[in-house]
Amino acid sequence: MKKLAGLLAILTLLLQSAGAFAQSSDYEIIQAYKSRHQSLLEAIKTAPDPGRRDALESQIGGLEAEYARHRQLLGEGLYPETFGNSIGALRDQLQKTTERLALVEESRKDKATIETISLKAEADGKTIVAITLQNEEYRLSLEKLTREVAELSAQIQRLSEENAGLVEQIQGLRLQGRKDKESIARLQELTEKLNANIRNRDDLIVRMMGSLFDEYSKSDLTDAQRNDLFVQARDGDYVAKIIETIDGNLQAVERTIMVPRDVGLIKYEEEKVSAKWQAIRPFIGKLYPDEQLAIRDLSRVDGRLSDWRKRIDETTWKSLRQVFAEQHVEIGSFTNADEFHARLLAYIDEQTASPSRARFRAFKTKVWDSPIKDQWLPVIPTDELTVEQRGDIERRIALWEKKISMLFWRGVLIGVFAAIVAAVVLVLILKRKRPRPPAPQDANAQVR
Amino acid sequence: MHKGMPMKRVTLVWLASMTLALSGCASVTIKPVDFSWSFESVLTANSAGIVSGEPKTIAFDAGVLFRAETGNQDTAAGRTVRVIRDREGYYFVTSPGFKHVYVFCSSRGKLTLRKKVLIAAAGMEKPFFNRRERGIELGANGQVYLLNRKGIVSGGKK
Repeated sequence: MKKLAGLLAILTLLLQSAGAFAQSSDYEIIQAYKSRHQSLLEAIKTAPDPGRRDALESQIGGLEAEYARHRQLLGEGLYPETFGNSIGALRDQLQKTTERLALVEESRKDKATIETISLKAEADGKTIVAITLQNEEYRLSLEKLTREVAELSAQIQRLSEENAGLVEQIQGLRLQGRKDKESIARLQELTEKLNANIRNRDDLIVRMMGSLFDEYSKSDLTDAQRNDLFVQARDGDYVAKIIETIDGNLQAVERTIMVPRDVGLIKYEEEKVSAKWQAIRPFIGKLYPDEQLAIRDLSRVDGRLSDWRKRIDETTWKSLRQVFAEQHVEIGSFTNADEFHARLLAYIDEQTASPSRARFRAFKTKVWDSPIKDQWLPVIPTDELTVEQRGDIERRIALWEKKISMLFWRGVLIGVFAAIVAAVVLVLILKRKRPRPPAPQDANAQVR
Repeated sequence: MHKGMPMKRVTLVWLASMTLALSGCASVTIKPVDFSWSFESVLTANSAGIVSGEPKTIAFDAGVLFRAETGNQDTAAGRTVRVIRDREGYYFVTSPGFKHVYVFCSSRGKLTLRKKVLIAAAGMEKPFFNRRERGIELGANGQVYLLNRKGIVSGGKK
């Protein structure tokens, strides 16, 4: 038994000796563990972001594995804590830290959201102030617009009535057909007044359209403000006024005979109103809550503008025809450039075939050279009466002129020939009537 | 006390009572007791040479040890002392540089040297104690010793 005990003692000693180099102070093991535990705890507590969680978890696992064999010793060294508790405390702390970081992250997001909301609220506040100011400005401008439109409408109305009177007067004068200087001057005066009124009224309607739709085209208008404008437009009956203005112009055009200067002015007016209409047309469309109503009104204005252009053309050709008629140059009826071209060529050809110097002179000086060529042709666009057509007419007139010229020279030659013949005849007559002097008795006769 | 009671009888009663009382006190003995510390205490002497540690460890003048070890008036201030107690209640004390491990028993406010165990004549480097089943383990100079109150049980030089 003693031998066995001795053997065991030796074995124990050997085992202890074998582990001697691996051994160290239990105290230091405990201290080292405490130190590492504390460091790890601090690291967990101060982890800056949730991304560290896995690394810290791994470190806890490492510490646990490394010191598991000292569990009992550490239990005593950490009393009243145990090894398991101390590792558990690390894990608890990690969980708390994770939650804290999640909260921080959430809080950061919340803070960012709050900042965003705050900024937005601040911006909204500013926007509200700006909108309030803008609304006030808008209200004032709408009031101003309403007043302005009312004034413009009144002026347009006055001009329309005045224009109607002027058209009547012009028509009356034309029907009288008086050609005296006073009547012509009066007619010219009335026409000029009418044209000035048309220009003024067009300017007013363009201004009125501009005022409304400049307001409408402001990008920051609210739906309510746009609705106000619609009400304003509806109450002011803008579309009707535009149509009324165009109709007035249309009537003025079709009831008068225009001079070339008038054509230029009226075409300019038409282009101005059309351009404005095209610019505001999309906005007008949006003003209508009822699409069908919008289409109807837009089509009405489009139609009226188209009519206006057609009437200007028709009246231009009618006025041109009047020029020929006044000089009794009957070239027939024409309502457009092609017809004008064809009729004129036919007339010239006809005249060339049976040329008359008087008719040519009347045509050339009182019709063609002026006012057609120098006044009317410049106001007729070349896409209507082309350069080729104009050239055709000029060439035919030249032919006509040549024919007239030839006729002249033939007359001259005939005259000269007649004069020569007359002179010869006269000489012969005179010679026959003169008494013959008695024939001298010459030597030769006596000889015979 | 009743009159007439003989003196002899009174004396007997008193003696019996005292005997009972003294025998009752001496009869409460707890054994076995394990006085051992789970691990050593590493205590640093203060400026007065006194080492003291956590509430469960002892406090004493370490200067005595240093003077005993070196034979001169070395001060213990700032030096560390490693202390552990075995099952029987003996204190094992040493310090880096010491040649010996001092084994003390405690009694009434003092430590009485029981054994001065020579470990290394050249002095110990980084000595430490561990409590083991069979005694106190000393690690020093790369050697492991098993000690008890009588000295080295195993390992190193006996």
